[in-house]
Amino acid sequence: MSSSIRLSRGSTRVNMEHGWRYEPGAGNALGTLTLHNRPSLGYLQTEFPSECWNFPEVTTTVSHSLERFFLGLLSPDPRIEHVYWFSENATLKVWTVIPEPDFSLEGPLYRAQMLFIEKTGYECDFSVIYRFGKSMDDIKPQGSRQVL
Amino acid sequence: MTSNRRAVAKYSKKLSVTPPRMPARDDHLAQARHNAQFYAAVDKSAFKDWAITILFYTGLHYIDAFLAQRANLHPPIHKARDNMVTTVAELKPIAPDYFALKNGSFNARYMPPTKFTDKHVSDLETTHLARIKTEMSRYVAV
Repeated sequence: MSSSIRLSRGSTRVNMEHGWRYEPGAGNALGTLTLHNRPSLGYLQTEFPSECWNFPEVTTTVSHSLERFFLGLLSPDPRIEHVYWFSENATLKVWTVIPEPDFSLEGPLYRAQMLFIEKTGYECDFSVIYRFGKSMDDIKPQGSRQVL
Repeated sequence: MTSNRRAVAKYSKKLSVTPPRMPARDDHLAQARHNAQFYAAVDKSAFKDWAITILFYTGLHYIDAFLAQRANLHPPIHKARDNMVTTVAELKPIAPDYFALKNGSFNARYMPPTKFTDKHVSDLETTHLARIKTEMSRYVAV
C-alpha cells in the first residue's frame, strides 16, 4: 500500500487513506489494530495475510456478518443449536449444529449460506453437523468461535 | 539465438510440466454410472455411511459432467465446486440437494458415530440425487 507508513522495522504502521493504525505486539504476541473507518475484509487480508482473522475488529465483523446475513435469514428454530466459525488461510469455515438430518431445516440453511456467500463475497466452506445425541464437547470444532 | 537463450529454451523445455488431462464430460458420466452400480450392489442398511458417500459422489460427477461440457470447468477441490453450485445459474436450483448429499457424506466420514436411518438414505437417493440427475439431464445425457 503506497499510503501505508512503516515508521521503523517492527514499529507502528499507520494507513491514513484507509484509516487504520497497527501497533505490533511484543515477540510473537498479536498487535493492536485500531480502525477508524472499517476497511473490507479483503483489504485486510491483503495487508495482514497471517494475522487478519484474529484481529478483534475482524472477528467482530465476521461474527456480525454471520449473525446478520446467515442467521438473520433464518426463522428462529431451537433445532439450530449452534453456529461456529473458524478461518483457515483465506477460507471462512462455518459449522451449523443440528440434532439430526432434517431437510425441512437444512433446506433454509443451504439457501441462507448461498445468500451469505453472494452478499459478503467471502470464500466459505459451510457444513452442517448432525449431533446424533453426542455432547457439544465432542462436536465443537477446535479453535472455532461461536456465533450462536 | 544467443547461446544463453538456447540454454534457457533447452532447460525450459526440459522442465516444462504437462498438466494432467482433466476428465471430460463422458468420463464423469461413466463414473457416475459406475457409482450408481456400486450403490445398487451394496447393503445399504448395513453400510448407510458408505451408501450416502456413494450417492454424494454420484451426484458430484453429474455436476462435474455438466461443468466440463458447459465451460470446460474442472473444480479441483470441493470448495471450488461449492462456489460454482452456489453461483452458476443452472446449478442453483439443485444446490440444496447437492449440499444435502455433501453434508450426509461429510458426517458419515468425519463425525462418527452416526445414526443415519434407512429412510434418510432412501430420501437422499430418491429425492436429492434424483433431482440432481433430472436437472442435469436437461444439459447432459445422464
